Amino acid sequence: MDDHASFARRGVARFLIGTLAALCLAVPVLASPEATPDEKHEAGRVAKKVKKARGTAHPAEAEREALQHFQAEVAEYAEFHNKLLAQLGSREETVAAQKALARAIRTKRAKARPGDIFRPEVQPLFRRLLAEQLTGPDALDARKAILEGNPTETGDSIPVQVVVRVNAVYPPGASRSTMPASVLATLPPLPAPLHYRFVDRDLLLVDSVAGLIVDFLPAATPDLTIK
Amino acid sequence: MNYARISRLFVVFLVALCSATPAPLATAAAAQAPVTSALTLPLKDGSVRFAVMGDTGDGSPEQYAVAKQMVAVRNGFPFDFVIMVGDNIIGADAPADMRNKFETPYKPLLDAGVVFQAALGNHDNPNQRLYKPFNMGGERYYTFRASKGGISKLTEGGVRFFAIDTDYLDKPQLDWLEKELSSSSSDWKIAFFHHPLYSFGTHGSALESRAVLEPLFVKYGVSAVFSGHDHVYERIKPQKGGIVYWVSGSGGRLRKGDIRASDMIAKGFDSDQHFMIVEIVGDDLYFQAISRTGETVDSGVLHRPGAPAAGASTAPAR
Repeated sequence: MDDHASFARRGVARFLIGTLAALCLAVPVLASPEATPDEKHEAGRVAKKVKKARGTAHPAEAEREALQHFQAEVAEYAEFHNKLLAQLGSREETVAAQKALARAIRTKRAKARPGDIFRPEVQPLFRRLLAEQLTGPDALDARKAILEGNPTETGDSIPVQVVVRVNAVYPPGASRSTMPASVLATLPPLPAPLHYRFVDRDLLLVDSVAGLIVDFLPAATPDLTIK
Repeated sequence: MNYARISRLFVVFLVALCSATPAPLATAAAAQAPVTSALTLPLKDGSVRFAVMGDTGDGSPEQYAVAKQMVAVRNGFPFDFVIMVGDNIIGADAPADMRNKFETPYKPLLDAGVVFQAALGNHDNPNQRLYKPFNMGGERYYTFRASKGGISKLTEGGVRFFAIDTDYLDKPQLDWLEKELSSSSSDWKIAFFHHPLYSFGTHGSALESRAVLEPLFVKYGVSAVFSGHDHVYERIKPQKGGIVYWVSGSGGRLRKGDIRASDMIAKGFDSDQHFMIVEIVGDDLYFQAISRTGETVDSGVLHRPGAPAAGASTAPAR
């Protein structure tokens, strides 16, 4: 009898130890938040959104004419930029050459006003394209990207104020809003020296070589707040 | 002792043990690990050796301390170049700032001929592409090869690196990247840029960038990716195409305790600043992450995905 009881106790002990070992191996996994499904789901939704954005950037018939004007304006600016750069005689891009270029552009474009390039006729197109990419739950990552580098968001850096004005210098020490891939895929393409940037909700056209604000569209985006 | 009592004791023991079991993240363990500067890389003849650092450029005492540690480590592991994953100069970038935030802390490395190859972050002035010590050739995005002894000509063999500007992933850049990746015959293709495609820090994964970059990386055989932006160290478990993603974003700045738990993280370290050293030998990439104080916070080896089988990928080096 005693032998049988002892055998049974040893069996129970083995079972308990085995269970204990299995549970303790499993617990770290079970206890951790399962980020993977959420991450994969969210990434999948964003990938679909970006793919769609890259495949569809066709303006409506009514917007085409305004867009042609915009594209002619930016092409003209690029030509003007390159001409000035050539006149400055710098074969190599240097910081000094860029400062000289910025001065020359400001002098030549002294009469430039907001809306010279972002004409009133093309503004609804930009607002529509931005709203499409920055609204809804799938746009969370795009809004986050814009906010993170936006100079109005301080994050963990000392904020550097960007004065949004035509011909103003985009301060070298100011952070830059990251331009989401979907937004860049849908906005009209720009010639080499020009980049789009956001400051708060304003869409800027920046001469990335001269470091100047060439034009801007105020309140171009929908509310970017992440709730 | 009767059976019921044994069962009760077992349950109590089980609850106590399981509640004391740490989360799978390695951060807590890494933070308590003994300080060591022992190098785990093999230092083999003909290998490609480099360091990785990110989010360095604030001129803080911590940045200087990491730089000092890099110099010390280089005495035992003579790396030839450093890849910088962005936010290289945070804030003002006048000549005095460039001295304070780059030239002075890394002077011993610069004097020793170590080459720095930079990618731009959201805090970097894009015109830093013209700053000669960053070796960007005046471009926002560029590619270079490295072989034994450091940077080599593009026509020569070796490891191919792709510096990408994730702040502005426009069509011309994506077209350029696809062209360069598709025409590269290098076995090892390594990408580096600022915004991480996978991260569990405050900023998290840059999903829009992932949507356009990851398919190219998988299609054209990129094996390893280094990023920053989140001010922590993370090594992500191999993702699509077997690609391993690293976040090395606390070369100066740090967000303590910032990493969210995820079973996608192979290793995380968020209690001190760090940098990485890497050695490529044949089909193996050896890596070691070292803290500001010289502690090894992670090390291992990645066997190149698609290469003839060897040991399991990302197994510990020692």
